[in-house]
Amino acid sequence: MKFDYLKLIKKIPNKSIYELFLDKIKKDIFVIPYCNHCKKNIWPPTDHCYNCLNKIILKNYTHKKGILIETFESYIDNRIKHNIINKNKKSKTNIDYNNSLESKNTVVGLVDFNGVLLLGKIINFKENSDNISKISYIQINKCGIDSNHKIFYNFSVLT
Amino acid sequence: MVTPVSIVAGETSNFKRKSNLSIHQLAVEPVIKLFRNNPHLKDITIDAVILSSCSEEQYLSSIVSELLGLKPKISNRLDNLCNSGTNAISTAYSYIASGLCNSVLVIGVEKSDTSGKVHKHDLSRGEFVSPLYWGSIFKKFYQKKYNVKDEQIAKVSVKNYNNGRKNINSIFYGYKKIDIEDVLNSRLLVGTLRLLECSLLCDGASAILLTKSDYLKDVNPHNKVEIIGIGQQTNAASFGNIVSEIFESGPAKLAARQAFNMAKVDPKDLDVIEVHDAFSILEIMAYEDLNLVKKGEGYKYVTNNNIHTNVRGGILGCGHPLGATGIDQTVEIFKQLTGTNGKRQIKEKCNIGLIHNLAAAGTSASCIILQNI
Repeated sequence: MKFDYLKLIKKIPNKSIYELFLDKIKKDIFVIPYCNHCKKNIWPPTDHCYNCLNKIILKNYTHKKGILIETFESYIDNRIKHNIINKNKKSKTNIDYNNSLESKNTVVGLVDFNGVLLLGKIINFKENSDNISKISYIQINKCGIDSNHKIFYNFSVLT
Repeated sequence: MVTPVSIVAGETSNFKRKSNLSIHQLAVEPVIKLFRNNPHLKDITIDAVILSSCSEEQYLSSIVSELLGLKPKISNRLDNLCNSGTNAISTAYSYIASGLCNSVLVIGVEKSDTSGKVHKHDLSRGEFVSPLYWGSIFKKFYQKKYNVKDEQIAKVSVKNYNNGRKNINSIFYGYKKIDIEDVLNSRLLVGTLRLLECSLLCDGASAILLTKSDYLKDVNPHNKVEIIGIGQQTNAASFGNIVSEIFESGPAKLAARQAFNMAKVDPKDLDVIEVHDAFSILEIMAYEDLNLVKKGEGYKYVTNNNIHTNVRGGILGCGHPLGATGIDQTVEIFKQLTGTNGKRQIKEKCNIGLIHNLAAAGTSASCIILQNI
């Protein structure tokens, strides 16, 4: 008897929007769920629009522009390094610590992709702080899931 | 018809950065303290046990009930990140007000390595899952919007750490006094947010006993504190869905309005409050959300106000055992209202107090108003 592959495929449940979102992000493709009825992005990824409960689709945002709302530096990675180097010192002040900070800290950006706000690393941020007020547009340079199973978004500034 | 609900006793165990106790043993500690300090309550029938915790441990409420020798009708557990404790008290209130129970024991417990320290669902945060990032954004937004300097916000840390060092339950008990310079010289973590502006997760537990107001009139004629107002509001779960509204019509503002409406009191009637200060900026935002001051003037209120704020040390000055925090806040206000707060008692007896609590970047909030009857 011939095996009915079609029947088997039909039995496999459809993936949820969340699973599809993860599948895409693993391939460095950033998608945002969109409701065609409400003409609105839906976040976080879910199978139905939270407004009209209609089914939603995924829109590719990999090459679309987002607006940079805010930037700030993270010293946490450096703090960990600092603690490893100076694990015997128990200083509570940061004078030595600040001097020991490496010049390149992680610059984090809060970016608005048409109503969807994300935090990500800005990879080409210029150190001149004057640029912060001038930069307004950003693109996803890379996204994925890191070795700690965390989703990450790397942004690049469009000047 | 809503049955009036009273708080009849509350105790908190000593918070520790890390203890060797299991979460079950930790949870039992404040309950034993509560019944030892209130021997007249030892024969009370506990109708329900609500356990507030973000721990991954299963069946926590029933296990703790068993360890305490209790056989409650209802035993369940509530998890709502930092808001868990105050939400558990609201739930206990509902059980009693509806007539389902006469008495409810609410226990909050947390270990410092709790799974509640990371909000996994929130994809907006990307790899920056630590609450430090949204704390830093709120601070930067506020500073930009209202032109507020670091030293003006640092006053919150100075006040709360210096209160906390006098609280025997705090992880900072007995520490040296700090000043604004100490805060401004503490380690820079994210943006302009410094180490002494951030709370520390710790091990701790707190317990509170609620009853129908006339339930214990023979055995407990004193120390009667009624819950007169409750407000809760959840607007989102993800940081990205709240950040644009947090300064205007965030959940805390709405929860406060609900609580004041229910209690039929004004902010000016309050004597003492405990507000959520996991980051220094949150206390300033809380003053504004509670309508104690106009928007943008919260920073002036830190040292210039008529209401005693975070006398126990707040979350900054005590440590932050997530599931226990809201309950310890409520225990503090209960004791202030009954005049039983020992060295921390601000005046002989206060009349009205408020508890304000937040969870997950302020996506949900709760307010409880208590009155000494």
